[in-house]
Amino acid sequence: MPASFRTLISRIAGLSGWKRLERELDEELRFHLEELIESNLASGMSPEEARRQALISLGGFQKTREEYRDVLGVRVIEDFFQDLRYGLRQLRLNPGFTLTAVLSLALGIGANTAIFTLVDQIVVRLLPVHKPRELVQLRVEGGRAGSQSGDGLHTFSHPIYLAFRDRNTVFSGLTGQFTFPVGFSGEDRSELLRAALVAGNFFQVLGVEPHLGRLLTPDDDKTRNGHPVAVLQYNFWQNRFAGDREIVGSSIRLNGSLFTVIGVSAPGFEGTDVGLPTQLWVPVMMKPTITPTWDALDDERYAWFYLFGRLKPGVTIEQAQAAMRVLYRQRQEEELKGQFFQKFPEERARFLRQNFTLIPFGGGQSSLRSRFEQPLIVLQWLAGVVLLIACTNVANLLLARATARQREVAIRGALGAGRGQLIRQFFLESVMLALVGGAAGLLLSSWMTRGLVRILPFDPANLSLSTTPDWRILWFTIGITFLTAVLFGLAPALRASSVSAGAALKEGTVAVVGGGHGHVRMRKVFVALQVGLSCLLLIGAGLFERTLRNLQNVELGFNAENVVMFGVRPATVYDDARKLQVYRSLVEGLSTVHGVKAVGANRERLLTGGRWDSHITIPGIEAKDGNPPWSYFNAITPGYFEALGIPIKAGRDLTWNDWGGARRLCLVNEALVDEYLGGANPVGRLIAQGSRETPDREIIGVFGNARYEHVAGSIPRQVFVAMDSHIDKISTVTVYARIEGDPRSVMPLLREQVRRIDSNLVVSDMRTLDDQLDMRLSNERLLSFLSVGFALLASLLAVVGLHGVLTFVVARRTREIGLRMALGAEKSRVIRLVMREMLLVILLGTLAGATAGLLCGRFVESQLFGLNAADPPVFVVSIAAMLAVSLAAAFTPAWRASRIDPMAALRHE
Amino acid sequence: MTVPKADVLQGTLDLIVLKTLETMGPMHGYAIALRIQQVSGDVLRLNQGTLYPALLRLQQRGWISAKWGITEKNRRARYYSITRAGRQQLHRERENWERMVSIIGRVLEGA
Repeated sequence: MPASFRTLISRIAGLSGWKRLERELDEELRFHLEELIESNLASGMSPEEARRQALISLGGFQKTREEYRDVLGVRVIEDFFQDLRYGLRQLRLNPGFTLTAVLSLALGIGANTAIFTLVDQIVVRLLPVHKPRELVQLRVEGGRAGSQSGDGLHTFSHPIYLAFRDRNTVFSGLTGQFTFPVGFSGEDRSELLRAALVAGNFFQVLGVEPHLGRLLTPDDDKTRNGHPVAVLQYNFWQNRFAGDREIVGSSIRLNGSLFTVIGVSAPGFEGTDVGLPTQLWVPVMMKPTITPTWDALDDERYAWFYLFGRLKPGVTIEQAQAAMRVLYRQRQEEELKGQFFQKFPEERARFLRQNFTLIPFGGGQSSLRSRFEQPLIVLQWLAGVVLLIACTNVANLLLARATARQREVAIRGALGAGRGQLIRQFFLESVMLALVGGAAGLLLSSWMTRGLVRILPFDPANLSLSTTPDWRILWFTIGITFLTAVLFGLAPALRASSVSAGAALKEGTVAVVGGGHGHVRMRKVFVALQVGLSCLLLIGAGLFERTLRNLQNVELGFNAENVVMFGVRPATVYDDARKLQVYRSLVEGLSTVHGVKAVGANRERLLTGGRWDSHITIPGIEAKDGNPPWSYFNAITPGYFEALGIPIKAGRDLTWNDWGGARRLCLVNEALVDEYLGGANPVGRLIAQGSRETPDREIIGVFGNARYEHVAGSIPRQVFVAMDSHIDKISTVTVYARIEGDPRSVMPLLREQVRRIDSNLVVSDMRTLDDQLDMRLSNERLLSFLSVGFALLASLLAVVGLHGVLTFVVARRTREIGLRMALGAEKSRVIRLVMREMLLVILLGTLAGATAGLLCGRFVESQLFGLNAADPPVFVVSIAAMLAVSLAAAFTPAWRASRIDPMAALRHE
Repeated sequence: MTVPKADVLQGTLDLIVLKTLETMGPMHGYAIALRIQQVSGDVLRLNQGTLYPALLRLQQRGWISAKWGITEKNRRARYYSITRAGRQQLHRERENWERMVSIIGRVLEGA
């Protein structure tokens, strides 16, 4: 270390309060001097001479003081820098080793960080509101009666909300929200926004502050349609309105009606749906204006409002649940007195079996979480396994190096280096490796996360997920980096430093190499571990890959190729007559676009997991064991079946001549005919939607079985009603266009045509049907893609490790091999001899991996389709692959061993 | 006797200090310096001040400890004593030295 640096350090150390110690040194030196003087006086010198001689003996005060200061402040730093420089030189001198180790670690740490970035945001994090742990959500399972919109589990009717709000004793505030897309008309264009209808106390219960203006209050929750105000979300305000502070007080148009902007929420709050931010909030009392096709604000039996509340201080969730159950029971009793249960008394039992609970709401209600929590957690575990393998690899490499450095270690030990010092030195090298690997991994992770998010089935523009690590992620990465350093660094460091000087300094290489025997055993254990883990990952990858393939091969019932689909809705509210006219013009107009072979539309978008189902009344068919007949529903236009390629098996399809007529027409699918009508031709029969309604819908045809909302499961019964007779309930439709040639090239043409037909129509979510299918299978695709990637990575690491150890073993036994060959052993015997070393390791490792696979299978059972977690073909193929790859990896060093020139080997030291 | 190189000197110095303190019990810096002079035959007659950084190093390694006390002449002085770790170190040094001696001895005799 340059002298100036040292002086600097010592000056810093000196300045940082070692005054006391320096004073004490001065006192000691003075004492020493006095004693010397006295001694000199006693031997007869004159006082001046005594003093002069004493000073000479003692030496320069300043020099002593400086040396003292050096030792004081610089010692520790000196040691550390020395170790650091030594370690760095070691790493530099072995670029192959360093590169391999850093790469393994970077991949392992990067993968873990990438997945954790998502897991943290989607699964772990709580809402950025006041004390999120106090928030709970209301939930009812089973036995629902009346209509539902939403997930049917956490939804309640608005009157029930009011009753709960006013009569509960356990919440400091109970609020509700309903999210929906709203048409927002700007000067130049219209777009769909994610909005939420919320109760007046929404922001208070959450504890969100305004950034500009004010937020909604209970005063905005009093009269029906009487509060046309809106609150903007911060980011939306920044992006769409360029952060214009004059926005407060100005008007905006939502679904055609004027609303006044009263404020902007504080930055950081995006609503309660993690990752899919809400862009504006509107009082729930405005529901009839916003959703005129279904008011339901005062309907006691229409559940659409999501309720959650903040517990009063000191109230536990169990206490609150018990209290709310009482309230809910009271409501149930009142509802039982109503008309519906007079008509259908047999529904009472089911209704009363409802299970009412309160669940924690600190994390918000996330559609991302409900879809991706499980696969993400599985992936995090997989990534952890990969990291373990990487660490094992690096540990193996370190052990190999340690063996080569035995002499060096022994000499240092003999010269007085303590074991602790040696361990510290080796461990520091591991830490440096881990730090570099961790830094590289962090860089990699950002790129990996972006790739992951692209697989998610959401338009990235809508997602507010961050792909770059923030502080939490950083701490996580630092944490696992150090964990990996300990995992792979400690054991080799301990091993390497435990060489006794005597054994190592003895003459003869045999002793030195023989001293590595313990090393080899440990390395073999590591390799077995790697093989086992890789086998486990291979099995997992096999299971997920087959699941995906099974799902992709399911018979759809319609032709998904070359179909473009997109949502269309008016930005303002149209009356029924206008809707009839517009949707007809739309479908007919689109069919004239160049490249379009057939076009049609429906109400419930296919393959989104969303569905519309309802009871049906079929004259002559009675309820089967307590369950009245029911079916999936949809509303369609003419051209729909043709666009999708669904065959009409009996009767006929709708035509535009039927459109707007007085007859209420529908088609049913084969499944319904088989289930309820015994396979008889139903054309001409009348049915009705709902239980015990008067049949007024005429069946004009039967269509082939086709998928509805998902690829898995059996094909549901379906009733498709003509859209014109259902138009009052229609707001958004989904259009399907079969294209000749490349669908993507036609997309802009379709958009242009929609605009030409009616510029007030908003197009959303335009994609091909194939892409929609992919989105539906995004979970499985995510799992399959990543698990295969991880398995390949793990196998690569295991192969490298295997190869490395065996090369080392061969080097160790070179003399012995040379001897055998000189004595006449054939090459093949040599090969077998060498491979036998690793055979047990490979077999045990693979067996352990397969067993682990069987045991862990049940954790992933829920993600599989078409096979169970102990699927024999997958296991057999994985085990065979692992064995084959491992044996091939072991073969190369063995083969090279058989090429050894016996004379050279015998001379080998 | 030629002046030996700094590092070896330092190592020897450490050894002498430890041995001194082990044999003679707690001593202050001047007494240690005197003892070194007697034992090493005036090798360390000059620059006795360099003893003190060495004593600090020994303290940092945990081999000796220091405490202020009063001399017979009623003066304040800092007394150093050997610690258990110091005794162990002394033992190790003795062993290493004896081993080194025996190896060299065999070399000189045998080859």
